[in-house]
Amino acid sequence: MIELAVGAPEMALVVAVPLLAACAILVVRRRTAVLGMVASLAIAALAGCLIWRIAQEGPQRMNLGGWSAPLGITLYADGLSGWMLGTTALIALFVSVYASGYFHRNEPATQFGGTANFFWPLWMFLWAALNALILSADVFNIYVALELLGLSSVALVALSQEAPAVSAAVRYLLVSLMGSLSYLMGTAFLYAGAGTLGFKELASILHPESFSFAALALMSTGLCMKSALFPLHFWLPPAHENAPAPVSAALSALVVKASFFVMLRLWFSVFDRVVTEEAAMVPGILGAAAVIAGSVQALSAQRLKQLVAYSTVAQVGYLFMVFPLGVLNPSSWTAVGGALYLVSAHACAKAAAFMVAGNVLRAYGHDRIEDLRGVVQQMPVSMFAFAVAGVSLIGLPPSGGFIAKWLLLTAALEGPEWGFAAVIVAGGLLATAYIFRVFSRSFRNVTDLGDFKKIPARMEWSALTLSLCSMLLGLTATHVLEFMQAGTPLIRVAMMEAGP
Amino acid sequence: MLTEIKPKRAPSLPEIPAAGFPFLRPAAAVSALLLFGVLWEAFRGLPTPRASLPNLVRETLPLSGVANPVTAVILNFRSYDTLIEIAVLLLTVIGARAATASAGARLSRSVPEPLLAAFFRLLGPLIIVIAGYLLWIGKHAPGGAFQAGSLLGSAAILGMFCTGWAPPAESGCQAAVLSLGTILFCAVGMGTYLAEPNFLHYPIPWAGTLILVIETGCTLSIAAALFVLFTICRRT
Amino acid sequence: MEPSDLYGSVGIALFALGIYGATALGQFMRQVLALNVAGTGVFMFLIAIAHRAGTPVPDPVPHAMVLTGIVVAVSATAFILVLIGRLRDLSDSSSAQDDRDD
Repeated sequence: MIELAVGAPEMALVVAVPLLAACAILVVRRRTAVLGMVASLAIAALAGCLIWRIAQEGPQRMNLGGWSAPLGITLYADGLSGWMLGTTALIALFVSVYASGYFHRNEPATQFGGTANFFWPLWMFLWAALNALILSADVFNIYVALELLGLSSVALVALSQEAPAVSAAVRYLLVSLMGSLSYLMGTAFLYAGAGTLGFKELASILHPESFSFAALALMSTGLCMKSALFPLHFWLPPAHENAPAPVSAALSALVVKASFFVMLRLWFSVFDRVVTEEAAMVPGILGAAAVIAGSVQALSAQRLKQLVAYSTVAQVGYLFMVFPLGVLNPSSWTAVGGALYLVSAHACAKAAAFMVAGNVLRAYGHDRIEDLRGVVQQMPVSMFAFAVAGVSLIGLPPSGGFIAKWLLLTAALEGPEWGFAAVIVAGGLLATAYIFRVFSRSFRNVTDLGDFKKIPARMEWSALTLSLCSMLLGLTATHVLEFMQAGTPLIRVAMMEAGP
Repeated sequence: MLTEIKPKRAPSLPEIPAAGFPFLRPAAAVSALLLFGVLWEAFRGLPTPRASLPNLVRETLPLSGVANPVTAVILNFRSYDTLIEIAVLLLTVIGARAATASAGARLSRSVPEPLLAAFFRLLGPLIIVIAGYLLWIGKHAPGGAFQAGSLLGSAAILGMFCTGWAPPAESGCQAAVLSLGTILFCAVGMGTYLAEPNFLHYPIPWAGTLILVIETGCTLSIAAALFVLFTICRRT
Repeated sequence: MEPSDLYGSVGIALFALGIYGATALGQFMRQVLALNVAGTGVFMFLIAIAHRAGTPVPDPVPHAMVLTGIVVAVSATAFILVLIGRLRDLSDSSSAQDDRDD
């Protein structure tokens, strides 16, 4: 029987503080970047405190309003949630640093000045939504948090108000709404059949019945749409290409992972008795297709941001292979640990890659890959960051990406699932191809260089720091995997035996 | 005379095949029928309803500070959902502003007609009183912040049309009213830490009062948000 | 047939119809309307399950879910209409027609 520590205030504060910060920035409307940075530091500190608590005391639970489930909403933080929360806080902090340099008031283009006042409140809402989603243990609460996440992401994509961005935003919002409605219908079926909305109660009630299958299918479809799983990925490349660089970084690194995380939680704890191996093959096969399709399209991308966006489609495919690999061997940590590791390593690397793309765009006015000759001479820090990030995306040791793919490959070979193993290897080769495409253009020494505009140093250094973090993840694998298992999240008995 | 009259467009044709995928319509139709079939079977196969949660709500109702079970669920038992929902509404206003910030103010001031203005002078205060009543009655009967807020917002829109009142430019005051609901909710939530180590845990004797305070803030915010969204939509 | 069965079935039918419209129709405005129909279907289904045979009084929790859902749906619809309006301004065409890509 696991005793759960109760009432850690950080669990609610990581949501309340960003909301209050957004309101404060809206009302004050001056020095928005400073307020935003202060708030970001505060939220990151709160997340750090919560992670420390989980490491010291074990999993945490908070019954909001003093009402225990099923009457009220419960927040639950174990090793998995703590890890996701930490990743979110780290990436979001550096995105804030980058954005404070990207949206600079003294830029001659006045649109950035006005845009900064809108960016910071919307960014705070996005962070609040991510935190709410990660900590929630109630299916309807997740629906509302998913809507907050989707709407804030779309608002940030449309920030530049140009036609390609707004058009991409409309498509994104349509897909997001369809996903949310599908998820809500699933929740309705769950409530109709089980009479409760909390994870713990649902995990003990649900059995393989027609309404549980219907709910599982509906909710999974909705979440897959929001994570841009093949073939419902068509909205992602235009949206991430046309968003401002800090927004693209946050979207690729965090937002698509949040719905994946919810799906992971649902499949492995709530629907634990309902999922079958056949059902688990569906996201697995679609994920494998995503890896190949995304990588191939990245090979033919014309612009750097487009290439990085297609790379996201491919890497998300790896994540969805955790479902068949995890269901085959329910008590083993290899597959789920690999997937979570990939979430963090990819988040760091992808955010760094988008930041570098943004740097290139700002410095040269374009990001066409063919015309990137000589970039390394003028922006060595950024290109080094891209190189390190690329190593993690390909999956070479000693990066975090390597550990993640190694774990997934081991799980696939344990199965044995030769198909998935082949796709993992092939994906690594294709990633090598498209990353080296960028290097071969940019690492040339040329004499005549185009127009170059100096960019703030913090934009380059935040990219470098994040890419180095993805390397650091590769070196601390054992500690990380140990932390993730705090609270034994995979074994559903743990959640049921824990007290109210 | 009311503001800009857009030229009438011819109604669009109903049958436009989707570009790029000729079998989309039949495929989508078949999938939709399958979806209906599967869900209907699941609906018919639902087990008999357990009444555990409604009974629990009914038993805990006296401790919640209100007499209406739906209000109790929205503003006490599951108040966290409502907090995020109010944040969604505020976010929508900011996002809409952000997406149209460079559109410029095309909203021309309408010339007030005396008859409409006089009509509004009668109707406006009446609507405000009814909105206040809806807010208050939410404790005992269907009503509450959302209904009152929608009514109040529509009063503002009606006033804009009838009296030619042009909405004020963006200001800190406007932002304060828009975010009042969210701020109050979070403040009350964090404030309850003084009583119990929990978020949004109303001390039982204070529950009714706190709910009313939060609902009032939310009413003003919802009204302002709906009004601002309407003016933004009109401008584009 | 119980009233709740009828309303539930109609809710499911509207949901399926709305999803069909959102995928098959080619214009943004129509897809928005179809999603609203789907949303209405979900809400109707929720109301239907609140008072099925066997419950003495209507269950307040699905009612609360519907109230929250309506506010969220209205916000999302308003936002998407603002975006479509902006697109209409920018593209200078006579309707919000747009090519679908796959």
